[in-house]
Amino acid sequence: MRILQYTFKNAAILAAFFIYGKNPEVSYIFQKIDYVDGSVPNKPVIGELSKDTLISHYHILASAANSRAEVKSNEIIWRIGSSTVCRLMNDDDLWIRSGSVLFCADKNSSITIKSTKSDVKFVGSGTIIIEATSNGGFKFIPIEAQGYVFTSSNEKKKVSNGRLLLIIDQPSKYGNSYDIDLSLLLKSSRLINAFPSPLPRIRKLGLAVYAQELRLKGKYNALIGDATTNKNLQMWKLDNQSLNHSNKMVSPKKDKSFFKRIFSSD
Amino acid sequence: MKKLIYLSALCSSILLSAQQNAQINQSRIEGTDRPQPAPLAQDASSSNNETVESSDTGAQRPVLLSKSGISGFFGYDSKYFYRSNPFALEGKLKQQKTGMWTNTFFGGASLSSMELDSSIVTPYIGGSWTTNDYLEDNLDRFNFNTASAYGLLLAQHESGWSGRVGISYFSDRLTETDTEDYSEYFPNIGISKAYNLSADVIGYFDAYFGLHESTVGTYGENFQDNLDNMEITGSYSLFYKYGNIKITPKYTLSFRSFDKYYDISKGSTVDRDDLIHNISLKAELPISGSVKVGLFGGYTSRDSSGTVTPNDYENLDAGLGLTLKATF
Repeated sequence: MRILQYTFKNAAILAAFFIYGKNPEVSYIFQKIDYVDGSVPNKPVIGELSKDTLISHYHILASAANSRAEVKSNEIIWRIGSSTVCRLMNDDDLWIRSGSVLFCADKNSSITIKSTKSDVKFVGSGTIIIEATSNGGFKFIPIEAQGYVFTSSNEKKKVSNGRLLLIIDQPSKYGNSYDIDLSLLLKSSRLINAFPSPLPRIRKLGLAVYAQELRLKGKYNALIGDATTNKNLQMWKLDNQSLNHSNKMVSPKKDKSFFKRIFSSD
Repeated sequence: MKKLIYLSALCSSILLSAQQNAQINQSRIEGTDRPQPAPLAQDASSSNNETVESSDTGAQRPVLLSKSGISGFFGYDSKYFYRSNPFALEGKLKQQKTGMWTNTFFGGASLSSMELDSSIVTPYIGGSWTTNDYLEDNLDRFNFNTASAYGLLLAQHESGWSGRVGISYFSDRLTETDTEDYSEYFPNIGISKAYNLSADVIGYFDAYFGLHESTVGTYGENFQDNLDNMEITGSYSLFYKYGNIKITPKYTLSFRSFDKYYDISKGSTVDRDDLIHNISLKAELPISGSVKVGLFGGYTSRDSSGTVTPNDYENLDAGLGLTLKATF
């Protein structure tokens, strides 16, 4: 019976291969990523992800702390961060329970991103980080991207490079959005820097940083943290000497006044 | 009769003095460094030194962006330095050596940029006004003020290369007489690229080609375009961070070709070519986000050919500076 189930599952994966193109292919693993294969009802199979694992939409991936992986699927690159639970569903859709995932596509794609509570559809191309938040929604961070996001009620929003957008609630709606420092994000993001091969759109990332520098007027002394509820977003105060955040939560406040910026140290 | 001889001697002395002044002025004009705007260089050099803990998604620091896409700046720059050969005279390295004090007020803006598929095109405008004072008493009659303005279109390609086309204008006025002794328009095109050599070092290459369309005020109408020339310049800089101090060594090589240069010794126009080497070192310490102090030094050598009158010279600059800059 078990052999029959495996045969059936592999036939289904093979069929998916012919229908949708290539199966997601694991191109890089660091430390430990486990998966739960739910293809057989009521008999989940738990295993450790390897480069030989054939990932299907039945696989729930769970990364350990300080672990990460890269999966290529239909010309889309997915990078899975540490302590992340997610699933790559049909048509390259993403379900994310916790943690963070990077999406990178050179060609126009249409993907649906779902969290435990919210979902949006993105149509376009680019490099985007998706981070699950405690309120059941997620942060949608287009580092460089062209396209639109749509909620289930078809509310459309153009994505803007470096503008973090909170997706909240069920039915989904757009929360606040914040322009964030792309140069700093690029320097400090493991989803971008901690992989052996650079992202194919690395040049576009550089151009997005340049475009933001041209329009930059000031930086706030804060870092954005988790969205604990639909109305609360953690803001961490930066200490002056480095950008390591302190444990003090603050409301965002602009760096300094014009003359203070001239005559005081920053 | 004695009076006539005296007057004649006085006149010839004044004429000789005027001619010498004119020659010194021209020599000074030729030896004056007129930096060309290269906005990418500022970006590369100002790349921040922020240290931050790594995380999967990266630090998400909110920023304030200009809605209009226009970003302006203005500031003040003061330099107090030693110059070994202020009038670019042929011969020894030290001639008429003097201290100099320059004070520059500058401003500019980058206008709304156009985002194309693989590049971003940005127009820039700017200008400055500089007082140039010689600190030796006998040289203060040569003190001059320089006004400059520029407009350029810069295309930054995703490969890291940038190309620019622009025009600069410079005008020198003698402080004592408030007369313009030099002005020029300089249409030019250039390319540049900044790239990381290591975590702490940025390399920056820049090259441009342009035509100096000049007017020399001290030589009369017939020779006003005496200093017109075609210039090709290439430079390579390193931006190195040592703690908070930014150290910038730079080498510049320039070729200039004059096709209607009037050679006084020959009494006719000649084809003159100059090859100019400059090596400089600058160390800057930011005091705050908008104030920095620094030390700088530079050596210039010009090898000129095609003229009877010698135009080779060497010069050494060394001093300190203060810059205040605000953006809006």
